[in-house]
Amino acid sequence: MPFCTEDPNVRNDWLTIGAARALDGHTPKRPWHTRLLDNSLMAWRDTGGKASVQADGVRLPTLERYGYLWVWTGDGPPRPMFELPEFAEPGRRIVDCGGIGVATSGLRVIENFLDMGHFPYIHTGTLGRVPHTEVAPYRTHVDATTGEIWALDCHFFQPQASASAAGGIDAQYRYRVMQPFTAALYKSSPNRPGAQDVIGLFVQPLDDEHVIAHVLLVYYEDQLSDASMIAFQHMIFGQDKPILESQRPRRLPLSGPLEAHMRCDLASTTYRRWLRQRGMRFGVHTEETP
Amino acid sequence: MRAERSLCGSEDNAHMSASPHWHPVASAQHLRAGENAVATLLCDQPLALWRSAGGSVQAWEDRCPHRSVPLSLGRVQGDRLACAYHGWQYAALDGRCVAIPAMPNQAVPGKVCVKTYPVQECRGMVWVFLAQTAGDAPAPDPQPQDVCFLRSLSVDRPMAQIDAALVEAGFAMQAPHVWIGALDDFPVRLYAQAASAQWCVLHLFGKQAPADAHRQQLFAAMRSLRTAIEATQEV
Repeated sequence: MPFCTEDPNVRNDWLTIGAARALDGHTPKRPWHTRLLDNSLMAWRDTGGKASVQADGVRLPTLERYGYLWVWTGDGPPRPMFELPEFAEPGRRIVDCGGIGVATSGLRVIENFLDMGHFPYIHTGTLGRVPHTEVAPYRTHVDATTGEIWALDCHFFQPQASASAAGGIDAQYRYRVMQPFTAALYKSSPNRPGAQDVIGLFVQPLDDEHVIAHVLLVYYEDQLSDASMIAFQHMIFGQDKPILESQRPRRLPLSGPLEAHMRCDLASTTYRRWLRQRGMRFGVHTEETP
Repeated sequence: MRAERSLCGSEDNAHMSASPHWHPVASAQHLRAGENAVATLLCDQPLALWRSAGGSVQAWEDRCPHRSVPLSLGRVQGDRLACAYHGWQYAALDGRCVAIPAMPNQAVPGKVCVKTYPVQECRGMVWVFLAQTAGDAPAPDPQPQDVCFLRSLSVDRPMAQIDAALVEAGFAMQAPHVWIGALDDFPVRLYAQAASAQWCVLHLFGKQAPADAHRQQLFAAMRSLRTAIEATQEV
């Protein structure tokens, strides 16, 4: 079975297929199964412990990085993985929150992740609260070396910015888009003034309109249990999921009059322009798509 | 949108008049001022129906022009409907965006607007015209009379098939989507809503309110009618 897209923006990129620990106990005789780009994948650990991933009987270039499995489905030589140096910083707590299926384009999932304007309405009482609705001006730029998008100088009033937050703060944010389906958020750490916690969002595209969204926490946090940190993220994601699945079209329009943009949507418009300039087609709405 | 072009054209052709006309979409009492919007489907076009504090009924495309979330998930606030996702507020009547909470101190550009449809109430029903204006289209129900809403029932068959089955059951079409006849010897009026190319909603009205004991019998007759329609073959 071939992969469902030839879009080089997807095929020539590192795509996650989930947390590396999913392979624990799996062997070539008893492989772990998942899906990617409408194709079946089998994965296991070799006797030496190395992760192996196969599609259509062919072994895919595979990396184990940041606690996740990443595969390369393209023909060309894989390019280097994006950097996430915070993952290896001493004192950081690494918590994988697992994957959540979402019936929409992965591009909509990333765009929602980059959006502060919905906090008071969708994450009421935690990430935002009416009347604190203003998205103060911030800036975005595309890094000339890495090609990554950065949204900088973002801040937003949050009644409870994380599971351990004791009260409302004006949370400082930086957003980063490493690849069309991977993004990260750097936000004020409630436990270490001046430092930033990192949330990674790694989207596994099952097809144009279905994904598994994986969330990784790279936090300064030594009080809370894994379970309470995961529960907080699941609550937040559980609030986003029905909104994401209600959007029509499910695929993201990159141009045209269908959706209006304001200055408060700068991260979204930067992301859409960046995708348009790359010639992104996968998960994109056009006049022809259903 | 695409669905509107392809389906309403064919649906209208199948219906005595090729010109667009008023479609029944909900009983008027279903829409109360201050209550949340009601989602419905007309010719495969999702609609958000709501009543403003001023009392006028609104029929809007069920899609926020900002990020395409259904407006029927939003909140009615007086004469405005606020989107569930970012709280953008749209005004009754013209559907114009009048507030963007993320930018509270900025004027809202005039071009941000929900697509609205002509809508009117006529004898207990809400009627929608799927075009920019209704022009001088004939009134939805040319022989209006006092009626009492009984219930709405979806029927899993296309409109043409429902029309044929209603004729078979002794009903007569008075105007597009308007039928008169009897159920269990009780005179009734049916308004047929072409929800999609595959299924419809029948809105049942009585000439007067039936006695409580009779009401259950009437509903049973209505369900039997649906069963009979759904048992017919495609025309």
